[in-house]
Amino acid sequence: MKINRWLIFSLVIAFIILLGPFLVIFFASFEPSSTLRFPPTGFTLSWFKKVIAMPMFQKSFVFSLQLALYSSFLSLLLGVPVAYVTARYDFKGKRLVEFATTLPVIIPGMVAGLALLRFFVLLNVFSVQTTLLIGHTAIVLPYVVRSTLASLVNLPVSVEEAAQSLGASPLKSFFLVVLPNIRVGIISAFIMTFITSFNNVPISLFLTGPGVNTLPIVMMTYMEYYYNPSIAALSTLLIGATLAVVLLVQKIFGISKLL
Amino acid sequence: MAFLEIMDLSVAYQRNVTVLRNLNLAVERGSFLSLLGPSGCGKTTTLKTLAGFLSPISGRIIVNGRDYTKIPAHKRNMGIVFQNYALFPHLNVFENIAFGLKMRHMSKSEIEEKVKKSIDLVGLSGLEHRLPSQLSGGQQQRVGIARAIVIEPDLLLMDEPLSNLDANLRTEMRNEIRRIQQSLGITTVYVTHDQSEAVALSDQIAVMNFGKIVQLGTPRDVFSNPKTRFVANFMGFQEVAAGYVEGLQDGYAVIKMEGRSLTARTTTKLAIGEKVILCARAKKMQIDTQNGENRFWVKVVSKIFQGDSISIVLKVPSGRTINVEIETSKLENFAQGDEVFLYIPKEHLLAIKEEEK
Repeated sequence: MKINRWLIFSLVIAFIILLGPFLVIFFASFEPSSTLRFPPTGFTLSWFKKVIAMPMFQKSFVFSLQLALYSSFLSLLLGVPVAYVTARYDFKGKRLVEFATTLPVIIPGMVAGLALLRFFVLLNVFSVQTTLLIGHTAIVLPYVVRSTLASLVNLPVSVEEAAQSLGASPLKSFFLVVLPNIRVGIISAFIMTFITSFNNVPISLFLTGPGVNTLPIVMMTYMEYYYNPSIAALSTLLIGATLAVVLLVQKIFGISKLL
Repeated sequence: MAFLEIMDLSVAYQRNVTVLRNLNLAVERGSFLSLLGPSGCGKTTTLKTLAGFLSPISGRIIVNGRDYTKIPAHKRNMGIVFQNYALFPHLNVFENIAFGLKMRHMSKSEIEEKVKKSIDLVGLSGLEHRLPSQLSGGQQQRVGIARAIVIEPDLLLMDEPLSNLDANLRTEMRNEIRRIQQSLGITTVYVTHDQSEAVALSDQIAVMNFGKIVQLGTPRDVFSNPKTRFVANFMGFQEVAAGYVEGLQDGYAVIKMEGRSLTARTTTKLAIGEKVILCARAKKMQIDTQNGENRFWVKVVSKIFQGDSISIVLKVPSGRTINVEIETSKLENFAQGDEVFLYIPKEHLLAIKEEEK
């Protein structure tokens, strides 16, 4: 079949707006002069060295990493059982649970951030770190529930019944039969939650406090004062790291269509 | 006491929806019982309750003298074969079959020996390392059967194991199931809606409707002597006429219908004057141009040539249409729209109480 020229045109436009901005940032990070510029006027790695050596970035990077890891694990710990119960049992308020797990996806991040802030101010018991952890867990939880639910739907209840009839307790049958078969959903949920938490701005914006900052917030603040290629270099590093993680997971688990 | 005893078992899904009502059933050791009935009759509920996936609101389940009613599914030692096979997708054939033995903490050599034996029994040698997704439907069900019998269960429960297979395979697997069950002598409860499966496999058939057993008997008995209108319909009888009992003698009744008297076999006790329906199978009716005993007038609606036989649709005096199958060679000359006589030999004509359906 002959491809219509409009189809080619839309393909090209899609490519440009998808990849173009990242390419600009990528090239700008090697710019020797101290303003963001495209096309670059030369080549240097000095911005990378500078950014890596800056304590504010180091500190917030480690914190963001920890926050993303902990909130992802916490959301798995909460979300997988919620998904399991929703998929396997009928109970009153099931629709409400389903609705609640879609809320953070539908509601604008700023609104969610404000709501969480008011909520924690009212409670007034948690440290900034705990507040951030709970806030991030709340916004990534829906990804876990939905992704796990989608995998559970493909695993008939009779498979669990079979395991139990063969002598596996309900708990054993969950770990020996259910978990291995929803692995793909859980891993993809983990990647989604990790990236979502690590990149989150609106929630963190409201919940960060003195001395506790996530990397995206520190980057935003930095950009307000210094508009030089160091931010581009940092962005390039982040994009590279994210791609590396996704590729690594795909390689290890052999899952091609994870996300 | 029989090997399996179900006593006054009642099961409800929600508080108001009772699916089983005071079910009583006994199955002897090594025997094959089919629960036969239309969807929603409670047969699968009975099986799930036996397996321990549903708990009864009242009643007891006794297996080999032991009360199983409150024992959880994983401690019951029952092998289950599912309609959708329910194999573990992430485990290969060997691991699927070995699962139950591993749960019983058997040694590696013992597991290997038992799995190999059951793989041979169901005819799956050479496929040990395939995943379920790499097997055909028939092969998957063989794995399902092997996995259920390898644990040497007290009871083998089968939930419509053949209904996902195509017609040719179904007959083959049906014979396989009978062979395997007989060679191992496992007490089996088999759920199906297919009367030919139940008849071919079972020692006993329990026909169920609305959460109750409506008739229990040997396949021969249930097949030829249905006691109620529902069982007759379900076992392939057609209602050809209705009338009143005029006389009774030696298992036969004289039935008066629209100015005629017909002689029909009885399967239950009938009383003089009782209203009955008359039932017969398509292949046991004949067509005649002459009037005579046990004949009544019908109109030919259509004729379809089927090779060995001819399928004829007839309109009986009550206005209802019935289907008759006669051998091609016996074909008399008559055409669509003709009025002929339907002859049903008295041993093939059943008189059944009209009351419930």
